[in-house]
Amino acid sequence: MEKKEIKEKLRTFICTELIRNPAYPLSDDEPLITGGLIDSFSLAQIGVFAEVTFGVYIPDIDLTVENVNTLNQMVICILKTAGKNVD
Amino acid sequence: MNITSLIFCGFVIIVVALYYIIPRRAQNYLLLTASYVFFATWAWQFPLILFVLTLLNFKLAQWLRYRERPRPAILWSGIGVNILALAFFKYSNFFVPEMLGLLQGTGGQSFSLAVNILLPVGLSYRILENISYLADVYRGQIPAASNLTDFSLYSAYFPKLLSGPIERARSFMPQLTQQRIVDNDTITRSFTLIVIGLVRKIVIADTISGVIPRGVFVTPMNYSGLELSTWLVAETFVIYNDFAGYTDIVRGVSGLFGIELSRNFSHPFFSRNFFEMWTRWHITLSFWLRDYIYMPLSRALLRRNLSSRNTLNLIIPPMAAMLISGLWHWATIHMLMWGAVVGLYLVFGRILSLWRPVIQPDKQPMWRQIIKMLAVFLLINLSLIFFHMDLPTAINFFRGLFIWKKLTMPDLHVPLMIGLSLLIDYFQYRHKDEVVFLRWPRLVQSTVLAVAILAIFLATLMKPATPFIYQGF
Repeated sequence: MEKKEIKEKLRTFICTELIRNPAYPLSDDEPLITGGLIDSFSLAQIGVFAEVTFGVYIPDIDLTVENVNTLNQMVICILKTAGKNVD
Repeated sequence: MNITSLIFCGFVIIVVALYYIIPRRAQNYLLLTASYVFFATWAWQFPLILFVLTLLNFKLAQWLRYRERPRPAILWSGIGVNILALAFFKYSNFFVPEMLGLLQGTGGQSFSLAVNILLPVGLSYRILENISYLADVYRGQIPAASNLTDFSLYSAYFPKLLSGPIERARSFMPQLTQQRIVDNDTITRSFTLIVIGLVRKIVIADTISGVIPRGVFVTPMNYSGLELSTWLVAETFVIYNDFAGYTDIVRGVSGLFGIELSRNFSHPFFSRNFFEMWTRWHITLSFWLRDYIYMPLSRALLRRNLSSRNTLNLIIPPMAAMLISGLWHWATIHMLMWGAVVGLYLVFGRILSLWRPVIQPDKQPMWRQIIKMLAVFLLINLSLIFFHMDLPTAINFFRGLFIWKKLTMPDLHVPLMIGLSLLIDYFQYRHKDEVVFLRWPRLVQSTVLAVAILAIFLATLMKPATPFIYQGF
């Protein structure tokens, strides 16, 4: 599972399902929660999406603004949880 | 010992002085002793109850995992014991006399038992902390505490003992073992928080509270719609400033020991939707409900259908979280109604947002943001009618809101104090900094501080400080 592939799948899911605007130009470091694009309750959807798509269970406790506020942070969180190298 | 009293001020000065005299390794013992002494000033039985609960949860957590495998039976027993303890202390005085009365009425033995079971202050907060600790250990997210002193301090730490903030063991306990650095910045920040807290509690909340006629929430039919609306809004500002003031004071006091407590309010009346409101009002409770009720339920439902339009996911998690929030405050029908109404706001807010793309609130035109803030504020006020009074009175209150039999001017103190509350919020919100006042020029800082201290002094002279509202939960 490539870092880039994870990021693109997440980007598509977030823009289509959570922001409800597939054409939204979501950048890698754009703050999603603190920027008001999604609320912290939508993180349940991201958690389940990671489970279903990448087979990685991110504990609720890790689904926080500090850990998953941007696309890049989400990718790191998924890779770390899967026990993979994040570099 | 009320935390706005001079006795508490003296108590803190003594503990701080001793804290910096004794060696680092003895500091936790000092804080633990001070916490139990503080608790004993409320009632001598309270420390005993707290100690038993602490020991129980300490042991349960150690049994929660056996050879890295979680043991669900222990977890559920632990949660059950904590809930039973809460129910026993919080509701025995209501249920036991009724049950005894029923037994007498059915020809049973005659009872003359006087029931008077004291509710330890802050027990509801301790129970939520215990449950989160057990759940986190069970899920392997934190190790079970091995040091009883540190765990006891997590449970009993006096600045958060009465009404939170509801701290998580994973953020609080590491602070007990780390080197705690208290520099000039920390001290300045702590004192600023204490002054803001005292202004919120003594100057704003107690002043408004002093002019609200108590009959408004008992016999609302005696008042006109305009009076009821005015006093309802005023009471909302009382609750907010009372609780936010308390939190600021205890966070400031805790800062003097180099221990950071979580923030509980983040200018909630500037929320533009109900989910935003949820993350700005009583934040530590909201996040507890989010992490231990909302998220597990939501994830379970989303595994069946990941769509944003999953109907069950739109309804069940927010309703369950808010009903539990209502019950946590008090197990009465009107609190349950309050929880249900706020839950419905969340459900409808989410449903209405599904048919249009998300636009960041900050990027919307200001007029639209203000209308949304006012709408959220209005609806929250209406929900609080159930929070303030029992169901029949709440129904009368709603009826009374539509009867504008006379127009009266509100007491001038109310708009003045509401304006001050909003002004403090505005500065903090605009600069995203709760101690923004420290950025001002020294002369302005000194003037504001002098005025604040004078206002606190005058307000205390005019009316003695009242107990904190959230101490009752």
